[in-house]
Amino acid sequence: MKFGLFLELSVSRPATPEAEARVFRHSVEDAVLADKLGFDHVWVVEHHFLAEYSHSGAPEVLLGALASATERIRLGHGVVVCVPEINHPVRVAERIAVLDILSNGRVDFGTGRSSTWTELGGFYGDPDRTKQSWSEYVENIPRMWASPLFSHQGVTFSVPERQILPRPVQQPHPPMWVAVSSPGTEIDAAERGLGWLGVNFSGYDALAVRIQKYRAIMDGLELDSFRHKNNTVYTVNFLYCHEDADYAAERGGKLATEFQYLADQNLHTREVVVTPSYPTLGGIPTVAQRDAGSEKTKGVPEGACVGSPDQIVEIIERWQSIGVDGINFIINSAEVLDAHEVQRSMNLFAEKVLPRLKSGAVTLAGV
Amino acid sequence: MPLDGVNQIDPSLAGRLSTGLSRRPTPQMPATVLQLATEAPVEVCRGLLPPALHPLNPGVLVIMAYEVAATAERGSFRTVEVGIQCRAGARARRYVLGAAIDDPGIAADMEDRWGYLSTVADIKLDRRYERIELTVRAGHTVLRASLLGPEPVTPSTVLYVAGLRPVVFQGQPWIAQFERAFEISRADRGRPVVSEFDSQWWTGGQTAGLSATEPISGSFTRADVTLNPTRFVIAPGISRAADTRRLADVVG
Repeated sequence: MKFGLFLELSVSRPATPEAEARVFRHSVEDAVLADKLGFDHVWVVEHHFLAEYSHSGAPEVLLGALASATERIRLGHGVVVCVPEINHPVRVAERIAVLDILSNGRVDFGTGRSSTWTELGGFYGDPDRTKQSWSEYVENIPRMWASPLFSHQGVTFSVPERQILPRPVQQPHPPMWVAVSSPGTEIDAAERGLGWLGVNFSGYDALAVRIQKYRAIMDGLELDSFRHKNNTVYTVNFLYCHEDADYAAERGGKLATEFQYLADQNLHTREVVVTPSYPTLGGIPTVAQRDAGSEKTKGVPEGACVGSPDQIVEIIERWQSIGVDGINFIINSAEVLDAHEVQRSMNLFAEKVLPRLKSGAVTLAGV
Repeated sequence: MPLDGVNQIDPSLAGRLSTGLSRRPTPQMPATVLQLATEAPVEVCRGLLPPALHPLNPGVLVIMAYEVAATAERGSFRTVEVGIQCRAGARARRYVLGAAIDDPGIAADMEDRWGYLSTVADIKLDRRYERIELTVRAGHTVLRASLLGPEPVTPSTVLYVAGLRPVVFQGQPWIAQFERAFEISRADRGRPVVSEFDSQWWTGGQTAGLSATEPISGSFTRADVTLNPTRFVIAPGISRAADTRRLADVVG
């Protein structure tokens, strides 16, 4: 089982320059701590115009800083919005490669297409074409890295014959992922050999069925030699670990509630655009759709890693039992939690939870 | 800091939700439905929403018109409403700012049974191959808007969210959920264009600043429309998490 951080860079209103700088500084500190504590990944999201929810418009710059500030943790660039109006695919290939060089081969490349009109509309992106552009990006960016000369005449972008430089350190290329929220995207992922980067919250049972479908396709998949198969499922979760379970529930509930509130401001493409390309709301704000009737503490969705170390071990074992390989944690939201208590939670998790799940000697809580 | 609405409901702009409430859905009414969504200034939207609702980023203006066919129980009529997309808690909703109906009898009935306040106006919904054009006149033209280049889509791609209306009930302002069910048999989509829009008229004099800025999307459907009884009301002054209650509980 692997664990990572999901840095959203959320900033409460009014987002003064000082407040934004503080959030970025704390995020760097959290990533450095995660590196020391044995977390496996730190992911930095890409979002545009999502006031409060995410001020992470230039994740590649922050990841460059983290490449220098950390030693071993893997750097998740994700997800990169694979829409030509937002990121040209050649620029994406170049950025990923530079980051991979500077971090000595520690980059994971997450891909996606954006679920909000706030972002797509802001760049005059065409919602009808984002599935096509995403597919064309993930097919061709590995070719850019593998071919001495690359050219492409495509549907959503074209490139005359050019050398795409530099090349990543990892061969054949950094592990690639796709953000999975809407049902069906896991099939798209498996058919292309991409890792499943879960970005919304769902109950155990619903996820288990989808993972089985993903594995079935992935297991039989054969890729060209220049493509790396990433048969891995990560989900997203909240983390608040404290010896006092009631206190953890109170603080973790506050974190989950704040996160949901911030997400609710975003305008989802499905809500306003008549397009078959976005059949569901997608994205993260599905905390409210958690399974009805499940046993849960108020404010904390089912399966959230909120509680005492024993409780969190039990929750993670359940995720593991349905085929989840890793969990990325949201550890704060718009600094609703004090920076010190976030790091206390991370430290306690590393001290009391990580050893029990990393060793392979998984034991049930209370046994 | 919460990004909530800041507007206090003006009772003169709210319908009276009477004790003669509809407790049964209407019979299905065959209708054609035009819906146009454009971006709108977010701060203007925020200024029009009560604290219980929060605006979206960016603001969204939604114009919805339907023309009920002559074969319906009450005969043919047309109605247009203008609202802004918002959230009640985590739910997508549309807060209706103003409405027009071209039949005085229907308008009176809508207020009696649903607390749905509207103004009688002349409404034209013209269908052409290249555009669907909507015009509303109330002494002068208060709305002229079009759906350009309609092209067929699968009906399930069209989404109608529940409307919310300011009402006065038992002497107190509330926000009532106005629920319609649409059984769509045919759908087209196209590009919305709003060429004339009288903000003062549609917002009951609250602001001249509401406008359609960037086009988003539009649809034109053939659907059987049912108006359902009012089930939920929201206390307008409580911010952040909408205090939604069953109307039956409020009535006691």
